[in-house]
Amino acid sequence: MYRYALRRIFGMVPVLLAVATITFFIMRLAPGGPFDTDRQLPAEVLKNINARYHLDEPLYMQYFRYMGSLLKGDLGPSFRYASHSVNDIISETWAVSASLGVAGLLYALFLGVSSGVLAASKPNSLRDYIPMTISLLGICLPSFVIGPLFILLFGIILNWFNVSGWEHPSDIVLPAISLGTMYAAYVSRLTRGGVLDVVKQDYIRTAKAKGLKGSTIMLRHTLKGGLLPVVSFLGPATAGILVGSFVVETIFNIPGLGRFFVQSALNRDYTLVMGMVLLFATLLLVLNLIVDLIYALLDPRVSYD
Amino acid sequence: MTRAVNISAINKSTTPVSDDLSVEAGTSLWADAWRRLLKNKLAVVGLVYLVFVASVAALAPFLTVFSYEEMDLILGAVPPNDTHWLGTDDLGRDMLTRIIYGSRVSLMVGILATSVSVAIGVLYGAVSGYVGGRVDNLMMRFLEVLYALPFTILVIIVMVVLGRSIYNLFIALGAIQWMVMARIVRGQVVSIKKMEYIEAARASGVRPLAIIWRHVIPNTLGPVIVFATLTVPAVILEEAFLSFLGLGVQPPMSSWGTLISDGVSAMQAEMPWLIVYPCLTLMTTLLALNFFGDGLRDALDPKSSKD
Amino acid sequence: MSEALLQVKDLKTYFYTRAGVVKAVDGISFDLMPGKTLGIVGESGSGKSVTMMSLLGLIPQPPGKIVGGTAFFDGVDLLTLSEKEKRLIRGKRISMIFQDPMTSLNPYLKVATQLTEVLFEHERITSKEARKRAIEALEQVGIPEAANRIDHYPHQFSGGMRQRVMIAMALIAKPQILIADEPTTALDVTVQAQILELLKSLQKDLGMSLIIITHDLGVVAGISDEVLVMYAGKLVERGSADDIFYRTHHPYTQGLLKSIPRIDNDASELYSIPGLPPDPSKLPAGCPFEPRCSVSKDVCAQVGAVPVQSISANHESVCYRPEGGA
Repeated sequence: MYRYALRRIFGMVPVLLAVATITFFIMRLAPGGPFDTDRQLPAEVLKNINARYHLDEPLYMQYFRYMGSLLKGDLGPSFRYASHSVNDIISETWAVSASLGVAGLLYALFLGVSSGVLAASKPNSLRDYIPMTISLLGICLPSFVIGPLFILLFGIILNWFNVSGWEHPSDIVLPAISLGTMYAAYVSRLTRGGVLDVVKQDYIRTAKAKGLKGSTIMLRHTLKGGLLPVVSFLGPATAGILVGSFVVETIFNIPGLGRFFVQSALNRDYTLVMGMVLLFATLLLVLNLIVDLIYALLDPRVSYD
Repeated sequence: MTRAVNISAINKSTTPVSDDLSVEAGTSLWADAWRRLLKNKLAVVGLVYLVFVASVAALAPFLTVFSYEEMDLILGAVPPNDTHWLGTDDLGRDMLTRIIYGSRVSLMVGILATSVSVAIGVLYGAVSGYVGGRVDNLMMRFLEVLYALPFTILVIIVMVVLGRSIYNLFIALGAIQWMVMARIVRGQVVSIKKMEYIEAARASGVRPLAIIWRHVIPNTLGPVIVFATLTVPAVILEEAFLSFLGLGVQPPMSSWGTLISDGVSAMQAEMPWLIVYPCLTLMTTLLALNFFGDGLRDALDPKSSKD
Repeated sequence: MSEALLQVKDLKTYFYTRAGVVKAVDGISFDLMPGKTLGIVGESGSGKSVTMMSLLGLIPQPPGKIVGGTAFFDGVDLLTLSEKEKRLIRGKRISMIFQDPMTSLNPYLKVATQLTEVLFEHERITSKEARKRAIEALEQVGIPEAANRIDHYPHQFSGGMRQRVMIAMALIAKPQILIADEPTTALDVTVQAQILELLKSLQKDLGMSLIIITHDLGVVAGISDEVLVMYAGKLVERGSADDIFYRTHHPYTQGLLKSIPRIDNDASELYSIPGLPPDPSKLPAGCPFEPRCSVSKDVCAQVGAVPVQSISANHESVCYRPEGGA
């Protein structure tokens, strides 16, 4: 399995190169440049800026220049935040986004799995219908809908939480819930489905015939197979939480990667956008690999060689 | 690799469909499916609601009293009352009208972008699956590269680059969703290819393109329709997301996403109606679409794993 | 005569479905002697599995329901036990193995876990001791290199081996009765014989009773002391193996015997009993086999319980046809 993991890691390199290239050309070929907006800059200043950032060079030269610095691990300077490099900005903000993302994911998993198991324990009863109906609602409550509603309810009306910012430890609660609720809903349904599928299997009948306790059967036999769909879902879920952070950080005014990404996209800050795109791509590829490996650990029938 | 998530597994319906134990004389597949669909109460409710929303959206100019962009700065924002059923925003524009006109945009985007994605995805997937071999490999590899990035990021990039017009929005959204459709269609095609009636057609000398058009594609219709129905809410959600961030629909046009975004900035000033109603509208429409999509999926393929 | 280990009287298990009441088991009685083998034969849907699962309480209670009868095992009526008490019996005193070893073993757990958990549940035992017993159990059923293979997963075993693992799992706690539900149906013909041999020798070594459920009379032939033939949830014939094979009485049993393909048979077509098994929710009012019976008379179709004829000391047939003839 190690060989498989290594193969996957090597396979990431061409993909990342392709992503970098595609993003580079898309952004550069776009009409308008990063300094076109806002104030009308005098021609001289514009020329200097363009020279400084090599924007006056032929495209292919810019490309090679960029790729070169990439290989050195340097994502380049930010066009908008003149004194900072992309690396700087990323290193200042990634921890915030990471903790938010992890919190959201953990929340989604805990809530989702426990409600799914509850629902599956007695199908077609109230224990089933209530969580499942709530989860149906959850699927239709993306972060930018739930966030504002929660802010309204818990922040303004009830005044339990701060409405924005990232100072108090409790500031993570509302954003994490806004981020994770939709995924909790998906996880809940997947768990319920997975557990119900497993419970129908013959080997559960065997376990019962062996006289095992109900809790033993659930924990040892049912969950192992039943949670596999959830593990598979973790890939898309982390991607979704990543993207969701853009909105949540914007709404709650959290100084994280996501908010910078949105800003840099709106500002056409080429290097910042591309740096982040590469970061996201790498992150997702690595996470997907981890998910596949976890899946292989849980299901002994899956072999990647 | 078993990572691919079965989207329909995520949206499993919890409504038990009653088994019809009596065997009926052979009716057409579609009539059967329609019957099954009608038995699913939630799906019917969803469908009725959708028809209602769509009709209101289509007939908007005849139904609304106020204009959606006419401002009344003196009036400012007022909470719901008898004249303005859902209140007004801070520029004095009637919220009900704005929401109704917003639905026109959101629904239009949803349907058009889905159509784009269906068209591209079906063609791409069908060709890739049917031709097979190296071409298939290449085409799927290309898809994998695109998959490496979450769709939203790609859309953001496209929107930034192409500019923020509504037509670009259709294309961007459709161009993203087609990938999932292509994968599904390719999978279907690969299994259909092994069926005997394809052998028969080939043996009688039918040209590959004709085979794809006449045999392969009609038989993939089932999952395609289901997935298209489930794509519409996903696209509407995407659009709302983008508009919320400022990258989607641009003023003076508004969609539910922009309305929610406006509502958020107004929230500090304690005007909850500006956000609650757009949110509710979005939510209920998505719910209805999901109910209907679930029901459609169950109706077309009762064997699909249910409770 | 020694006391019966298991005495089932008039067991009735019905299923209440939207299509009506399905009388899966409608009045089955039998005795099981210690150390003996009972074979239960019938087509699919005849109620053979449901009978056994009712004894162990494995029937889902809606929609199923045990509506009547008693099942005395060692002085206790199994049907009246609480769920907790039933659990104490399952796997420990009465074990059951099922038809398809591929799906009956948990693919995600090692064989070792699936074996030792039976011991952990029913006995106080250390994990070292449990593992030792598990390896012994595997050796007993003929798995080579048991000490290594015990840490393998089910998909790494062949079909016949998996069934052996199932048997090991069922026997590891040394039960008094082993119920084998179609143990060989999903296996290759060559493997079938091996498994049956194994069951027979294990039974002798462990001194336990064996109940084999099957639709195949051939399976039952070499291995059973007593045979029970079921049809549509009811008993149709019961007797020793010799009685059933050499002194067959009931027309259904005769039909089953005729259906066994024989290598010395010249016939161009294989015989099969004409007609189809009845719809369990719409059973005929009189003898359930009557619609397919070649020797039926008017009296057979009339409403009411068919009389039980005593052909000999331990041989019964539920038929209107007089003993010995048309």
